[in-house]
Amino acid sequence: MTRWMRFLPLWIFLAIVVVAYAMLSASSEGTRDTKAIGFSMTNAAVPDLTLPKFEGNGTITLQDYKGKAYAINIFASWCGPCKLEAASIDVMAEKLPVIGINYRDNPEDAALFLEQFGNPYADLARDDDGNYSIQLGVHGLPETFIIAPDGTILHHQQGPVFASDLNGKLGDAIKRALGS
Amino acid sequence: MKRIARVNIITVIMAIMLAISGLSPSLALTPEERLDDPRLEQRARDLSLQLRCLVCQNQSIDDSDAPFAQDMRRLIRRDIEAGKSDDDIIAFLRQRYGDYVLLNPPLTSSTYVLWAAPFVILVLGVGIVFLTRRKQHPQNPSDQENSR
Repeated sequence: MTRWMRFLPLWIFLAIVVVAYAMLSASSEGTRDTKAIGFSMTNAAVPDLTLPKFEGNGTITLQDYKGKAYAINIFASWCGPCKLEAASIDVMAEKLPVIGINYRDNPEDAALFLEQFGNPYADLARDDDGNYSIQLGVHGLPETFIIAPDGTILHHQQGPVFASDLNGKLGDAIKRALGS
Repeated sequence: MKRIARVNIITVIMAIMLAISGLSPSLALTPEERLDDPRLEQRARDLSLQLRCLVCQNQSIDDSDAPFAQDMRRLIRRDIEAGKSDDDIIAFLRQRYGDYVLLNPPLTSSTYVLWAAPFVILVLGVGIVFLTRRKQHPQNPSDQENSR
């Protein structure tokens, strides 16, 4: 028996500790597998929400958008992929009005984010405790919904919107929502 | 040799202590979240233990301190206080997140393989062990006769 083999239990124990630590570190980073849930709000009716405006004391009611095609985009300044999709949200906002919901954010940081990456939103609301986002079936950021005039969610994008999405399923949903 | 034995014993003790620490539940729930009524609070805890934190690795929302889990815990408590039943709350979350939000997936046509697999494997395993042992040690006297 070689010298290192005599301490085999110790090596196994240390290996388990290293692997467990690596796994716990990975899970605490809040990363998510957008495919894991295997479920989306596509084809469901958009909930009738009244949200506080991002600035001031007013409210935004989704019911007011009934009869129009529109989109909802959930974002935050602390969300890296939200920065990546900013340019695509700009393009999307040229086609139909986009309601932005600022999720669990610091208002100053969110204002700075909008200054830096642009404000493409027709209406801007805030969701300080995540309650409104849960009503929409949101479980991570960013998420985008394309809503038909009758209130049906035609597409629920979990993850950032890229230029390729505007020519894919999301783009098709926009066309269907606009009736073209 | 004694030194090696001592190191190995200490390692085993450390492993047991680590395993015990992993078994104790982490308390993600903050005092501000708790409901004043202990019966309603217990209902909220029971529900939270059944629901998956969707941004975590196989953790219930009761165990997780992720903001998403906190949001769901708050929603459950708000709904309980509003008089909603456990079934209503679970149905609401299943409508938004599917069956994946449940830590114990329900028995449906798409999950019956998942539920049946452990029993099928157990029966197969017991069958293989039984047949192998029977071949090695025939119990039946007529088998013994034949094997002579």
